[in-house]
Amino acid sequence: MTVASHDIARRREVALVDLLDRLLAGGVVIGGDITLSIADVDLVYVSLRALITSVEGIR
Amino acid sequence: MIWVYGICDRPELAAPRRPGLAQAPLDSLREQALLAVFTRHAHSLGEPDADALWAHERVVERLMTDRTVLPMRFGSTVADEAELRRFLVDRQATLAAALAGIAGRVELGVRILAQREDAGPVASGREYVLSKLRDGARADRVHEPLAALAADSRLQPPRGGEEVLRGAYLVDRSALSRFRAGVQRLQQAHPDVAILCTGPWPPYTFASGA
Repeated sequence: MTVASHDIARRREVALVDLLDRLLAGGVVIGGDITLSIADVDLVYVSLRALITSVEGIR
Repeated sequence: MIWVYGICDRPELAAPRRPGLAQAPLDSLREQALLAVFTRHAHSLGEPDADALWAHERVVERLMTDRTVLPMRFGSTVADEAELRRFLVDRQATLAAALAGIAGRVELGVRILAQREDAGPVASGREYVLSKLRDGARADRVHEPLAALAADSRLQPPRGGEEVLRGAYLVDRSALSRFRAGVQRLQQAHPDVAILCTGPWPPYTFASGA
């Protein structure tokens, strides 16, 4: 992995963590009708992190 | 099922002609001074993945280009338009006040990562407490000057590991370059930590109370 591609991968990872923080924990909620419960959100978070790790591994 | 992306001001502006999740075309519903932007889906959208998150985000960012948007939390759905309208009617005052609070402003995310020289098992409770105090002091030295450049700010508990600060800052668009310059100055003053600044984001963190 070159320094440049590592930087890009790292930056994408940073942005995805920040995106998750906002989309899954912030924003307006329509009362009671959210499709993802808190437990699901944790699972999504974990599986997306696993996804990032595997993408990093492939590069 | 209806998937909602955001609640906007300027209700006379129609939804942009572009797809949202699962390539469904954007549609909108107006209730007095508010406009909800959404897509219709016959089936559940299945397991959310990173692409779905970015698709939701891109719609909100597109809306932000010509209006003020309260972004919805990812996964906000209602059964039909009648239910969406009820939501807009019931929460009208709160939503309008929240829209006014974020007008002309964007959110910036700042995280501080500190490299640990003393990585490895913590030797004693005393050392642990001292290292936590050091983290807190480091975070304050960055957070306070940034909060002074922002209209509002929220600190979230750091996730541990290298992270010693996780903050969100609501910044006037006109103060964006001043805020970024502030981050750069603080990074130069504190070379022992990495300050990661992302954004501008839709103000998710400052919309969550609406």
